[in-house]
Amino acid sequence: MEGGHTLSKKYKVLVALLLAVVLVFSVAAVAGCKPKNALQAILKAKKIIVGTSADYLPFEFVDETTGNYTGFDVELMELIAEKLGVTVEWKDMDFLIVLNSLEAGQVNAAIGAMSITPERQEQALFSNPYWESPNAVLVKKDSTVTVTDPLVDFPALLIGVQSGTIHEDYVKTQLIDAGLMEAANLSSYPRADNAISDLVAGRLDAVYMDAAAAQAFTEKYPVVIAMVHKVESGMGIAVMLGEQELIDRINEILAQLMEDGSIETLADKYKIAQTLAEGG
Amino acid sequence: MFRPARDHRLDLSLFLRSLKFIAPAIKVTVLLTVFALTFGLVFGLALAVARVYGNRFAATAAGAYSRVVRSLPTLVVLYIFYNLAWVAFRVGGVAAAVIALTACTTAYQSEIFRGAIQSLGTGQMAAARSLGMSRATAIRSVIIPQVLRLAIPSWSNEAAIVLKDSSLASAVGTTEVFRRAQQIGAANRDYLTAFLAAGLIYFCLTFITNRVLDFGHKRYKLKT
Repeated sequence: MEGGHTLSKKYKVLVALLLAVVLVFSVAAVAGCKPKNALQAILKAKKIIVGTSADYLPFEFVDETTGNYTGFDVELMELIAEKLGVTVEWKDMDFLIVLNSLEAGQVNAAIGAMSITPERQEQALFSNPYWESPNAVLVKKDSTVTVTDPLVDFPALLIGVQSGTIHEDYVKTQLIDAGLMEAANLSSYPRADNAISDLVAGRLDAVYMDAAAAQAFTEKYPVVIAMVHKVESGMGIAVMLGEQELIDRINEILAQLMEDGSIETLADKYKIAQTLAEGG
Repeated sequence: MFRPARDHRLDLSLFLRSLKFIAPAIKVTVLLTVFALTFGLVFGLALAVARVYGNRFAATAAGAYSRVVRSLPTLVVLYIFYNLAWVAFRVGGVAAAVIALTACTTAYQSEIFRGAIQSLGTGQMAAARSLGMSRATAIRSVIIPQVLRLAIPSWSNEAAIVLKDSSLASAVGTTEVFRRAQQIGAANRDYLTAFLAAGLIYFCLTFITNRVLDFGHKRYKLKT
């Protein structure tokens, strides 16, 4: 009886303690909610902190010789920063945590070949689309796998996607949730390259991803594009929910960059336009 | 069935380039480790003293902290603190990673020091008290100096673990050794070579850390 008594007392203290910790954090969370006006803060600091996942050629990657971040998205963001009169501080992280980092206040903006979807718009505020890109299905070179329509062909195959992408979402909602495909046949990877490695190793039949990124993978891996899947998905730059002033300014600059041809020039430089043309 | 991803002859030139590319980030990994270990040492020692000599509330609180944190994967703690860091402490980036790693190692170090204190036995405290020392003085000048020396071997192990766990900070935007390896692996489409280079760097860092602490252990060993 004595033992039971002290035990329950000990647990009461433990529970009280946990509640206290939760309370402290919630108070801090409410008190610290939202730094006022990100645009002013960025201009004052002369620096915009941008989150990305630098593993996605040709959109964002690291140039080995200089050690700097580069790619279509990276150069675009740096053009925007230049027009704002600030410099970019890059934060390279897993794609899954990029939008979370906006919510957590760790970055001011996020870019990463990120398609604008209703789900993501609940998490972050998106700019107008700066690029539209179809998707592609990659298979191993010399593979006998043919794909003409993902909806028809995917259920019989082992499919790989990157976690948190619209491609993962497409397979989950259109096929798995619809009862057309076994959930076990879909593998989600933290990084796009991991999916490609497994495709080459024969552990997957096909990988579903953005067409321009897929094109870049065909250059260094023994993989080919089986089909280009035209699901037009505009890519946008994300900022924290409620930062209307910042996104307005970004939209203004994007409009300028589209008008003066800068975005086209970048697309040419990173061979994104060609992929689009080939894909028809 | 496993089949290798490709013809995996090691690309020596890429291996060397990877070492060179990763090298600047060693600083970040070392800083993360040193800060987390140092803060963890201070807080861990405080928790251990609270558990052994503290009143019931302090002892329970310290025990509960250690139990809760040690029950969570480091990655989970890291994500939690990454989300709370800005809101609660107004810090971001590397500091958030340091806080999370400190939170973890504090719990483990408190167990190391608690064990060391208890292995001293109660005689030391009784003797110090009988010489007229206050409890606080006895803890400060009799118990802690011996505990630190006793704890070196286990602490050396913990140092290696924190060094390796610092790679988890890559997930939340800290560009340290592991992230640099991922970056050059992605740029060259060859992760194996990049990770072998990172592996060599981690091995050297861990080896040096353990050797230095071994030397400290021999030098400051308690004479029995």
